[in-house]
Amino acid sequence: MNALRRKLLRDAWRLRGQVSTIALVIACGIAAFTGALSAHDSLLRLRERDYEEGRFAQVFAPLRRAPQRVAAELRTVDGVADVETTVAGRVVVTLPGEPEALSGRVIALPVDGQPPRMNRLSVRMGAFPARDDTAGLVVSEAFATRHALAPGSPLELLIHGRRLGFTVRGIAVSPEFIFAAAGSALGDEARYGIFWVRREVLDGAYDMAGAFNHASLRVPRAQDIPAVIAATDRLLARHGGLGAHAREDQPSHRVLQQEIDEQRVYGALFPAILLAVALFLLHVMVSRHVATERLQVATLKSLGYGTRRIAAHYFGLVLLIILLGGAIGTAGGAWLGSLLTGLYTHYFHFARSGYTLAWQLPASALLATLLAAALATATAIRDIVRLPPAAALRPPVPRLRGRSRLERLAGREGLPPRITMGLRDLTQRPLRTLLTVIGMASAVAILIGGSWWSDAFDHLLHIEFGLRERADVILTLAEPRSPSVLHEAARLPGVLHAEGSRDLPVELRSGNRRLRTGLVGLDEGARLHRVLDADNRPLALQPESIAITAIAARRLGVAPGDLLWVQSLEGAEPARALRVGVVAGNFIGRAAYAPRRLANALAGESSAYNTVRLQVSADRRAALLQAVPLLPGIAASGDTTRLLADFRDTTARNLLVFTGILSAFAAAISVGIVFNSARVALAERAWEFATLRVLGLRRGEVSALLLWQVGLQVACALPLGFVLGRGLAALTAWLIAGDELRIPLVILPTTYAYAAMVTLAAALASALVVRRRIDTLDLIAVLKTRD
Amino acid sequence: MSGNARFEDRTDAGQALAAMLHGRTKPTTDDVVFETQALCRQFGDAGTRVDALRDVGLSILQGEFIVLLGPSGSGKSTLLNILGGLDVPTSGSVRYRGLELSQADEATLTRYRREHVGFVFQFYNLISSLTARENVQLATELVASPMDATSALAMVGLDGRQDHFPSQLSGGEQQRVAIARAIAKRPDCLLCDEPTGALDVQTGRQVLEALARVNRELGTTTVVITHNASIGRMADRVVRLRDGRIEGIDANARKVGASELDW
Repeated sequence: MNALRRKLLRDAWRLRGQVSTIALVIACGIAAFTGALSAHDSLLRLRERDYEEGRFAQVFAPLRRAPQRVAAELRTVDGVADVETTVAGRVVVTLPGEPEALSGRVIALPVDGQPPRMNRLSVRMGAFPARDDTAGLVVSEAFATRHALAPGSPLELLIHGRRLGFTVRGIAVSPEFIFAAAGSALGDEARYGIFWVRREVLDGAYDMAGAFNHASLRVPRAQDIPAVIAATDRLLARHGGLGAHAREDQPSHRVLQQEIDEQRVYGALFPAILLAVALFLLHVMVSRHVATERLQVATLKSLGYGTRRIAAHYFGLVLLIILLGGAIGTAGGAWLGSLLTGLYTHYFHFARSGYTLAWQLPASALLATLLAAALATATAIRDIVRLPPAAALRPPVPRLRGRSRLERLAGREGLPPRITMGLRDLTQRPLRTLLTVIGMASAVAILIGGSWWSDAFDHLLHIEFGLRERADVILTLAEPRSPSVLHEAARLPGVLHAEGSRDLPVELRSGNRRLRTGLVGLDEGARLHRVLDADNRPLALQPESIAITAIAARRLGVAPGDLLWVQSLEGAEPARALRVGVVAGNFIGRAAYAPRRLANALAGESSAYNTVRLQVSADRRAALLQAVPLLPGIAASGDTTRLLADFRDTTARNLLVFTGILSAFAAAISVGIVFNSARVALAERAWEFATLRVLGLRRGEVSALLLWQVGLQVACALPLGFVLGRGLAALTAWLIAGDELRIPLVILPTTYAYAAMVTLAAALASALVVRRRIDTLDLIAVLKTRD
Repeated sequence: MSGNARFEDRTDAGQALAAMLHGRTKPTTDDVVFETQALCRQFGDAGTRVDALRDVGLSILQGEFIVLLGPSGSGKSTLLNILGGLDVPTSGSVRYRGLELSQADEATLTRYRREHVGFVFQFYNLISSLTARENVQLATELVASPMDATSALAMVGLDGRQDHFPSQLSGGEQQRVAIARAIAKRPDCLLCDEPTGALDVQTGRQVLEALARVNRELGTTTVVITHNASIGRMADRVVRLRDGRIEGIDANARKVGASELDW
């Protein structure tokens, strides 16, 4: 090893505190980047593999009932390569030992006994029911796992009013239900099962012999899809077409896509902040280091070392730090990516699991960091290595320091000299001070940006399930029923109050903008489901007008007073032009609301309901849930209280992991910034501090000079961090806002306090480490050395 | 100055000191500021041991101006560091007015430096971010009844430059600010480590003049270390050190003024 390289390693060892804390911040940045993006890539890869191997359809067309020959007509549509039809419907599920009636979807397997050609199941356990096995079924893995179902387990399905007993033959996953619970409001896979049964069973139950009510279309070329959807809608219009849609509107795909997009946002946003902080730290450390190496540079030059060789020597330190950070970051990123992918597989059910980390990810992160670091340190290194040896041998010209504006305010006598020292040290290097404060503030911001979610979700759940949807149990009917259904429901055990609504799928049109969504027809004075304005106050629906959510209004580009064409996707009623009465402030969904009578009119029917909302006495909830399947025409039931509790559990677990990781990042930044700025301040002022000790200042008094300075910077950083954190939260909310979900920007004081505490603790810990060095200053050396 | 009375007092004190130094009167315990006995200081361990001080016995009297003279490595800095409470001897005793410094703990030594000692460094050691006056105030904050910063600067002839930063002052001026800072605490002794080492002759004389004035007018016991023999002529006594031992102590029959010195 040559002498310069040995010097490099010894320098790195001498500066190990700074080297390791900066490497750690770099590691966090690379880990965040690699972790989030590898999770993104893994999810994408798993999804694409499932879609490909499972031959996931490109277009989906639900309808009321069409004879089988219509399938042949669909096949003739330009761009369609294949059509597969089936019969599907909603079911109420009764499991032995489970008091609650659960919901689900039942789908018929191909009539010829072959596996489906599209949306193929991947059987994980057991097998498909044999051709004549009408009592056997395949159940979705998510539901089976939650209820410990295995081949041989019995269960009952209430299909179109008929209660049928089945035995589980197989457990499977499907590309159509990777997010199995997409059909239920909050993705509650324990309460929403998918069941595949022999076609004959559903032919009988739904009276579908020789007919179908769902078609999947394979459309190989993406550009054909809009035309295929239009043609399919035209063909199915007279068969009760419910609106064909592409993958983008397929429930499971939509949720999965949103999560994948979120990972991309995190993969870009947080690493950028971490990297910026790391570069600043590198810049300060390297500037300070090369400034103290002035004499060495002169010596090396006078020995005959070239400028380039010396510059390379100092860049070597930068390279060492980045490689160290890169190694830790890549390992951390792989761990983080696999952790995130693992978390996702709790509710995304792929045919195969597997986390993959492409080497390009850490490599590109490392390369980007290296380039940025070279830029960040180039000036400092260049200034030193370019000095002629004679100039380098002389001490640097001291900068002329003056009284700052702040001091002038304090009058001629001014502040005590010890305060003045610290203040001038900060104000004489305004850029460094500013960047230090911004760096600390970014730690606070990352903490807020990572932990405000739980505030936002609590708020969201409070609005959606405390103020808007207030039913304890929601019953979905297979077909609309006359108002007498409310009386029947009211007689069920434990029911305190029953309300109904007519929910129907509609297409909203304004100019050439279209939106397919669900319309909820509400009775006047309904209190179990309310329409709320942006300030969460209940809104009254106006007669003969429609209310839509802000998300829907944005998509359609309409405001109150505008006309909107509303076309029911059930039946064949013509579209009606309705005025937009109010815009509702929902965070979830792109729903529309109308007076119930208007909803009935849109569907071309007389007074009817297809959803019943119940307020239930808490102690009789179990009795009610057992009695629900007895209600004629029931298709599904949902218990909002248990749903909410489960949702909170899952979210809490994910948020805990997420907040934990970001807290670690933020702590790394705080430690990195505080330790390094205190260390640099100490290095620059060690001589002053030692002089003060010789003059008689106690250790504590000298430490206070440094800690006071750090404390002042932290004090400035906290409020700035709060503002930046709020901005970061707003930015993430905006970046990941999807069609289904708008995250409310709600940050509670406790979140700010948490961010402040973590930052303060990290700052304090690193300041105390530096303080210990003050205690061991060499007092004798200052008598003989020049600053 | 606060009047001729004080000056005259000091003149009397000077005469009394001269009488003791030249053996005409015997010093009492109260007159002795520092007393070292069999003082040894070793550095390194068994294999690399260096004896910086060997068996040094010395008494320094109140108001005395002492020059410690010797070549590099003679032990003069080590002796000054021990007198100033920056270092402790390996063996032997060093007493400041009855306080045994060799046994004192860190806190006691800090308090001792704070209340009784003024340091003047070779490279001035001024805080570059503070003006001349603020540098002096840094010291005055530490003690109960300090000298006013402006008076301390006036004493070294810098009352017109008190709002200048160190970088705006010449080397000699910076050293005089350092002296003002040291005396502003009204210390009992002033310990100066090569105070003119970084200065030219002319500027060096100004600094030495300031030290002599402080010694003369305030009666501050002053110890100056130097390897410049001619500075010894302005001292009451010159302690010559070599290889860690006192080679000899010379009392000057007549102290010369700093302006008469040349090197």
